[in-house]
This record gives sequence, C-alpha cells and structure tokens, in this order.
Amino acid sequence: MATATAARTRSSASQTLGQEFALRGPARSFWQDSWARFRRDRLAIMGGVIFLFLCLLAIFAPLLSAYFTHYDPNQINLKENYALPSAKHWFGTDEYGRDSLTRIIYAGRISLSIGFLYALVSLTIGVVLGLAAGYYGRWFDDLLQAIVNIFAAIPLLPLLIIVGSLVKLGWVQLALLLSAFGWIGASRQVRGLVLSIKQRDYVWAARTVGAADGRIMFQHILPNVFSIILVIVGFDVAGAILTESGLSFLGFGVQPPTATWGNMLSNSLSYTTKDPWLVFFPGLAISLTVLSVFLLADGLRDAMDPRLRQ
Amino acid sequence: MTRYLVRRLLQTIPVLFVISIMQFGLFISAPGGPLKAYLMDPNISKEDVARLEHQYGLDQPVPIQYLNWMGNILRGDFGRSYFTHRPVMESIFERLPATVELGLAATLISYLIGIPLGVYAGLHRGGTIDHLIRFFTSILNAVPHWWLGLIIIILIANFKVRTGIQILPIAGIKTLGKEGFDLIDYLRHLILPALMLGTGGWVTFGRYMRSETLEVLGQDYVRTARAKGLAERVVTFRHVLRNALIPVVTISAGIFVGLVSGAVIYENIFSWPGMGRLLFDATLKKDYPIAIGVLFIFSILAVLGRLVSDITYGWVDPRIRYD
Amino acid sequence: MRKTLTMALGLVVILSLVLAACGPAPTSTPVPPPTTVPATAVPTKPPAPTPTTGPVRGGMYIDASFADAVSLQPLITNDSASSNYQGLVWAPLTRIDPKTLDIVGVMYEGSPTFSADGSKMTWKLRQGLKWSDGKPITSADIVFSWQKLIDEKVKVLVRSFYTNAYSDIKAIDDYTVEYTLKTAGYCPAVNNSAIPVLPKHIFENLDINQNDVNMKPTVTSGYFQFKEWTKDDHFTASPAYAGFVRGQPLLDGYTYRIVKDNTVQTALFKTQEVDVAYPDPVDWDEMSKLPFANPVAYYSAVGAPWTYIGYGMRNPLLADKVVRQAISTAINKQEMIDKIRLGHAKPIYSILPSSSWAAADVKDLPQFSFDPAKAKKMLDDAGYKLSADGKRLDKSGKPIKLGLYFNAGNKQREQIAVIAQQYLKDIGIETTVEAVEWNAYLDRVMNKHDMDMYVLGWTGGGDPSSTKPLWTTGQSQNYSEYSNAEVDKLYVQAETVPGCKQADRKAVYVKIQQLIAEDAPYVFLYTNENLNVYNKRVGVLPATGLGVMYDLEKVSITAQVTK
Repeated sequence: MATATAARTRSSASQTLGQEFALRGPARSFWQDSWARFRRDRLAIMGGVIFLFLCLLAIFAPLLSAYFTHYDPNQINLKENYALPSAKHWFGTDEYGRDSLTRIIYAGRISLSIGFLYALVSLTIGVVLGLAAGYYGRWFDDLLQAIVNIFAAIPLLPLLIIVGSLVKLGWVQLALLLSAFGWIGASRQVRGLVLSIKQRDYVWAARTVGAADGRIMFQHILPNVFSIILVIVGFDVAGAILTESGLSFLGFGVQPPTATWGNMLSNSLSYTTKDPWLVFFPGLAISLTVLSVFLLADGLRDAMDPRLRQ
Repeated sequence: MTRYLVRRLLQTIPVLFVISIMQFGLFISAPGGPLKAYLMDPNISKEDVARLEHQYGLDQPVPIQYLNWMGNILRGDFGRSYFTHRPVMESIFERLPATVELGLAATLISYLIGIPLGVYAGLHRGGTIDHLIRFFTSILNAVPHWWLGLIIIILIANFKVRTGIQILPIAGIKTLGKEGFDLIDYLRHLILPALMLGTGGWVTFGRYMRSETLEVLGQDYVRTARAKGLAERVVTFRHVLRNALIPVVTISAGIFVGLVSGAVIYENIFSWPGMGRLLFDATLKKDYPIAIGVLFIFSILAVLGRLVSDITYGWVDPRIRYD
Repeated sequence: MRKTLTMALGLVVILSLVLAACGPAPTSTPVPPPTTVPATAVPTKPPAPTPTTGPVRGGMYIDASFADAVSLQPLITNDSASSNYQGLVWAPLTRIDPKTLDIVGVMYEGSPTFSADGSKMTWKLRQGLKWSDGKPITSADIVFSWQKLIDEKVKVLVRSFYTNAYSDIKAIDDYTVEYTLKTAGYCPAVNNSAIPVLPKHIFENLDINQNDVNMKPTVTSGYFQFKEWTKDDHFTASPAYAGFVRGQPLLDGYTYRIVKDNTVQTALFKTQEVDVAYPDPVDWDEMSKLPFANPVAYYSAVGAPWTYIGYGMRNPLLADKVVRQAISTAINKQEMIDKIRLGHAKPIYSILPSSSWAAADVKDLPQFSFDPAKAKKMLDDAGYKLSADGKRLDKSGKPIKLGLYFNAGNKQREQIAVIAQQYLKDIGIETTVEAVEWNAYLDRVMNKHDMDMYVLGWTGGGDPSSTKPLWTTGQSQNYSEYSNAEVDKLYVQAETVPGCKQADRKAVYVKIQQLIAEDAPYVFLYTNENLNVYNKRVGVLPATGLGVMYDLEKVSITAQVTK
C-alpha cells in the first residue's frame, strides 16, 4: 500500500531524472525479485498457507481418520444421524450418521486429486503444444490453431452432460475429460509468451551464435514459461473443483457413496432445513480451497508480472 | 478480410458435422435408448417397446443407424424428436431466443459491473478498495455459483414467508396469468439468472480491466499527459480508459459464448425455458436428435463468437492484418 | 491490519448469509398463525357473487410439475407429465370410484354388461355429450380411436395393455359399444376398457404421429379447454368446459408450472406462486407448519410406489431360497422407514401394497421380521458358516462378497443400499455398494441379470392383474426370472373368476401373495406415503385413497390472492 505508491512516485520522478538505476539498489534475478514481491503480499501468503494445509489434510487422510478423528468415512450409525457439531463429531454427522469431518477430509482427497490431475494433464499438453507452436511457428502453428478452433467450438458443459449421461464418470475419467478441453487456455498463453520472448534480444543473439533450438528453449524460454505455469496450475485446480461441483449438482459426476466436496454439497441441498451444517461444511471446504488458490495464484502472477517491476 | 472469413468458415463447418457424428456414435453405442425406460411402466410391455423400436429403426445394427443418420445430417435434416415427433430445429428455435437473451443480459451485467470495478482497482492499485475488490471477487468466484443461486432462491422464499414481501421472482420467464408481453415483468424474471450467470463474467472482466489499466498506466503517453498537467480525471477517461477498453471488445464474444453454454445450470435452477434445459432433458431421455441438434447450435454460436472476436480485434487494432 | 479486518468482516458476512438462508422458518416456534392473508397490502378480491348456498366459482389452480409433457396426443405418450396434462383436456371413458375402488363409467354409463358366454362386454355411452366445438360425442369417435390404436403405422406406446384384453371394439349403435374379449370371462377387461377417445372429425385426416393438433388441441372433451403451452415454462388449460360430462368445473383453469428442482418447488410454494408442493419427508414438518399450508398425507390406492431389493438369481448363492429369506430377516424395514422416510411409509411383505383392494392381510403373510440372530442361525443351519474373523462363508469355504446396486441420482435408493450394506455386514455378508447410470441399470436388470442385489421400485397399477407379467414364467416383465407353476396357474384363475367379483378374485390373489412372499424373490421393503401440501385457498375434497383432487370439477378456490 504505502510502499507501492511510494515506489510509483519515486520511479516516475527518478525516470524523468534518468537516475533510476542509482536509486534502485543491487540488481536481483527474476526469481529473487518475484519472491521479494510475493513475500510482501499478505493475502497471497495466507492463501498459500491455507492451500498447503488443505493439501496436507488430504494427503494424510487415512492417518487422520485412524488417529485423529477415529471414524471411518463410510461407517454408518443410524442412531446418531443428523447430529449437530459437538465434541464427539466436530462437524456433526450426515443422514447416515457418518462423521462429517472425516468425510470432508476424504472427499478432499478426491476433489483435490481431480484438480491436480486435470492441471497436470492439461498443462502438459498445453505447454508442449504451445511451446512448439510458438517456437517453430509456420505450419505447426497453423495446425495448432486449427485444432484449437475445433475444440473451442465444442461447448464444454453440454458436452460433459452428454458424456456423463452415457458413461460412468469416476474421478480419473472426469479429470481427463476436463483436460481434453483445458489445455487450450494453457497452450494459448504459453504460445503468446513464447512469441514475445522469441523477439527479445538475448534469444536472437543466442540463435545468431548458433545455439541449438532445444538449448534455447530450455535455457531461455522455459524458465519464463514456468512462471505462468505456476499461475495456471492454481486457476486450473480451482476451476476443476468448481466444475466438478456443478456436474454433481446436475447429477453427473462422481457418484455416492464415494464422497467428493461437489457431491456432498449438492447432496446436502435436500437437507437445508433439517441440518444446514451439511450444507455449510462442504461449501466452506470448496470455497476455502478455491479462495486460497486464487489468492495464491493472483499473488504469484502479480509477483512475477514484469510490468510491475520497478 | 473476406478470404480469411471464408477460410475460417470452411474450416469449421465440416468440423461441426464431424463432432455431431461423433456424438451420435457415442449415443447409440451406449446401452439403453429412448424407449427402454418405458419398460418399467406397468402398462407398457416388452412387445410394445420392441414394436416401436422397430418403427424407429432403433433395432438396426449400429453402423446402419449411424450411416442413415449421417446421411440425413449431411443433407441438413436433423430429424425429429423420438418423443414429440416434431422437427428438431423447430423445437430448438422455440427455445433459442430465451437462452440468447439470458446470455446477452449476463454479458451486459458483466460489462456494467466488471469494467468500472476493474478500472478502479487498476487506478488505485494497492489501496484498500483494491484489496477489498480482489477479496470479494475472489470469494464470489470461490463459491460454486449454482449453489449461490439456490441459496438466494431459498433466502427469497424464506423472506417472503417471514415478511410477505417477495424481492424478486424466482422461477420462470413471466408471471403466470399475465396476458401478453410485459417488459418490466420480463426483466424482473431475467435479473436473477442473468446476475448469477454473469458473476463469472464480471470477475473475469474485472481482472482483465485491472491488468489492462495497469499496463496502460505504465505507458509513455500517460506520463506525458500527466507531465503536461492534465487533470487526473481527464487522464483517466481520455487516455487510460479508451486504450484499456480496446481489448475488452475482443474478449467479449468469447465471454458471451462461454456464458451461453454455461447457461444450462442456471436454466435448470431458475426454470428458464431455454436451449440448455432442452439439451439436459433430451440427454436424460436419450432423445438423440434433439441433444445433438442443440450441441450443434451451441457449436455454431461458439464459432460465430470467435469469428466476431477475431474480426473486431483486427478492426480495433490497426497493427493486425489478415492475409 | 486493515486487510485482515476486512477479510474477517467478509467472512462473517458470508457465514451469516449462509446460516440465515438455512435457518428454520419462524413457524417452528408455536406462534398462532395469522388467519388472514399476510400483512403486505395484497388486496383480496371479494368472493364472486354467489347464491347464498352455492359453491364458489372461479380461480386458477397452479400445480407444479417436475417435467414438461411430450405431447397432448394420448396414443403416442405415457410419461406422467403428458398423462397429467391430457387428463385435463380429454374426458375419460371410465374412472376408479374413490370410495369403492371399483371401475365406474364417466363418459360411459354405470357398469358394463357381459354376454352369456363372457366373450363380449358392452358399455353404453352417455347421451348428449358434446365435444367443445358442439359436435356430439358418439361411439364413432370410440371406434375411430380404437382403429388408430391398433393401426400399425401409428407409433402407439400403450397397445398391448388393451390388445391383451380384447381383440376388437365395435359400435352397435351411436351410443352402444361392444368389446370382444380375447379370453372369455377375462375380469380385468373392465379395467382396461378406457381407451383414449379422440374426436374423429378432427383427427380422421391427420397423421396421428405428427400434426399440430397434438400440441394445440382446440376441440376437447375434458375438464378444461386448452389455452397455452410455453414449453418448459408452463401449461394452462382454461376456461372450464361447460359441457364436461361430470358438470362444469368450479375452477376457471388449471396450470402446470414446470420446475425441475425440488428445492425450487418448495421455494415456490413458500412464495405462494404454486398452490401445491410435494415435499420430501425431511421438509414435511416445516412445510406443514407454514401458515397458509394445508397438509395432506395418504397412501395411494392406485399407483402406490413401493421399493424392494431384487436379486440376480443366476448367482447360485442367491438361487438358494434360505439365503434370500435370511437376508430378508436381517433387514430392519422399520428402521429404514424411520430413518429414510421419517416414518412416512408402510412396510410391504408381498407384491401388492396394502392400499390395493386385493392386498392380503399382513398377518396372513410370512413377514421375515427383523431378527439378526435368527438370520445368522438360518445361514448357519443351511451350511453357510461364519469364519474365524466374522466373514460368512459359502458352501465351498470362500467368503461371500455381493454387489449391491442402485440407480445413480436416486437418493432414496442410495440410502436403502448403504443401510442394507450395514445390516448384511452384521450377519457377516460383505457387500460393495455402487451407483449405476439409469439406462445401464435397466439393461442389467432386464437383460444381463448380472447384479447380485439391486434396489428398484414398482408403482402399483390399477388392477392386480397388472402384476401378472412380473411373476409368471417367462413373461415380459419378469426380470427376476422367477418361476412357480402354482403361481402361474393361480394368475390365470384370478383373471377368469366367474362373476368377477372383487372378493372372489381377492381370495386367489391372496394365495399368490403368500406363495411369492414365502419364496422371497425380493426383499420387499416399503410403500411410500404420498405427502402433499396445498395452499389453504384451495378448497380440496375430503381425503380418500385417491387423494383430494379426484373429483376435480368440485375443487374450488375459496379466496383470491392477487399479486
């Protein structure tokens, strides 16, 4: 806040004086610079911490259920159904008497797995294609454009509905199906970045000197691409979780009794009057995850945005 | 320019056919069919269903059905619904306006909210308002929108029970019993679904405007304007806004198309009688001709949207030339 | 820090929004409900001027439907939405009397007469009935409709229901119709005599499969005339038809509003934009206590939905009757009813729900009452022992593992499966619960027969003879592949009881129910109670097994609520 405004005025003043380099201080690498900016962004840090915490919960779900909550996520107990949050059940129980906290943790495994798998696959495809198209250009680029046009013409949600009604979608299939369309955005951004980097002096210089294509791509282009990859991963994970919840609401998506945050949320809608806590916790889980990821990714993007470097 | 357009169109139309055909293949190879569900009806026997399947040609081997259907499609005949027997395109065009209107309204709302917010956040980067805007838009995008829509419906209903006041209609396209077309009534019904649908849109616009504004602010001509001594307001409107708005035009078409296909969920929740619901019902019932017809129309809209996007991009940015 | 504060504020706002939305309505506290329309100045029209003791005429009744109809052409549809709309505009030939549950004529008069050898059934059509354009309704319309029903070119959905009962319908004179029965003395023929009746002068030159009248019929015979149909939004039948066979309805019109989601339907009832809601048991209490709500709960005498767990009896384990009986004994039906339906269901022990006229007394049926100890003993005695670690072993010593399936999206069936899994675990049988997409589900139930145990339901038909295709050897709806020669004989006997009196036929059906219950081809679970809430402004009829809207012409709106 105060520091940013000060920096702005300082830089415009210094630039007109032509003495910006003298005022700036020791030179820093791209990563050091980005990290320094990131550290100052409290929202982003908080987002990162929360997201990390949720991922850890998901990873250690079986340990947590054995030693911490002492409940099995599928163990029903009809006498204690619809229980309100209490010392015995921190998040209460659902319509079968299953412990909600344990279920939320296990559901997180699936929801986060969907998010990460989706991000992994769509980024792999998108980055590879985007890199190649941006770097090699010409017919390869045209081919990519044609493919992108085809996929972009297919409306995602209607297609998901149609496929979901025909084929049983486990979480893996769902993630893969989503990534069949998700790679487009990544490839576009990567391609754009590669194109702009290609014009820069040091790449041009490297080529003049005779450096191999692969070397150029690895040494110069990839590190820059990597920065936007981080950001895209964040938005992808969040987007996949939200899409999965929408599909569960419509009835297609991972089916109970396997729990995901999405199907827990849509399932709970029948119980808004009987037990609103069933609605609250999955909603909180999704929102917290998506929010923390957004803040993290936003912060990363701001931190690495070259235009904001002062 | 025209050559570019023609080339793009030539590229995509056959692709759309291919997609439709792939979809049909998916449909008929999956178990069941439009008539199988009737077997659970005590008044309908296996013989009845078998007879009808024969009449519809559904008992023929899959490749034959495929070829028959593909032949019709290539002639532009999308067939008739297995249930209503009405031509597919007739049913779709009945619902198309509602969906398009919803999409347009949502896009408009995205503009009206997203652009001012984004510009403001960009101009005051780092300020409290910027953080508040970032925070609230993040929260709004973090909650599943369909869930938010349902919660709002429940809120409005509970509010009416407690106080007797109904803030907004929660379902349908018009109040029942009203004759003719009443614009105010229509708009009141349109607001909630358009707002919910547009939420994703205005967050995207907001972010985009914010980063565009920031980029423009760093440009030389802005510094020059400030150095000249122009009032901040003039700088904002004359230079910053005008230039930052340019790219908005290009992503609008994309946003509109995304909203139209995302309308399915909101048409379900708010009982809006559009194409999305038609698709949803047809898919559940295995009414293939209708489902594929709707998918095709969505795809055409998507293609048109991107074409418009590309054209306007070239038009507003003189640096782009089409070869 | 400012940022943290604003964040905290934001979170608090959202939290309170969510909790407020989900909070119980204030009517859960005992506040006396207001006796008049709620306080915002909603003007109430004074009731229409009526004679001192007359019924109130006028008003539009608004119903909610989960789906939109396909068409108003009865010959080519049978989905419930289409049947509902059609029921408003087309008058039926017969109906079920709400009190006696007998078939009585509507457009037909009284009861039919039979020829001496029982092969012909004759109905008399009421004289003076007219279509809404003034043309008389005669036997020519009925014969025309029959000919279209059996026409091979017409894509008729419900045909064998009629053609199994009779082979021909012909007109003896303008007001006498004679049916030729396929089997002489076939009792259900009366039940199946109400074919849909179309106006001959309108449809004779049209292709029944596709024509504009199917969507917009202007010449009708039913309670109300067709007014408008906005697809997926609403359907309105109005005004009331003065020439309706049972007398001009009191209501002005009947509208169906199409609302897909149960949450939204509930909300619409609360805003009083629809006059009726069909709440789930979890919402029943809250909805019943709304100040303007009139709750009606009843067990349907016709079309009662009941749920069961079926077996894939190709699995040799499940072909063993003792195993099935033990499983039935291990399942606590009452607890399922209490937890899943919150008490709003009745246990069922055989193939007919208790509200059917042919249902056997519960005390006459084998009940397999909940007794896990007994179930374990049954299995032990039959040679299925428990292993050391509590797993039930089959006769070759392998632990038993069964698949338990339900159709994806059906919440009730999911609950049955998950809870049944626990009961089976308690007697040592391990199961995996899995959701299957509906069409694949049907395919596996009807064709593949590869699901060990599956949760499904039937809706009771009008006449018990409609259960024949389910339980007789090799018949079209016998998905369990059940075969019992005695049951086959009894079914034929029940259909041809001389005199066709309900009491006589019932005796035969009771024997059938006992035999099938003993064989336990299903785990018979429960019948759902119908839960409806009506807006108090609707003057509904006294409740019977057919609900409170059965004589629709007598339903009225007692207070006008304008918006």
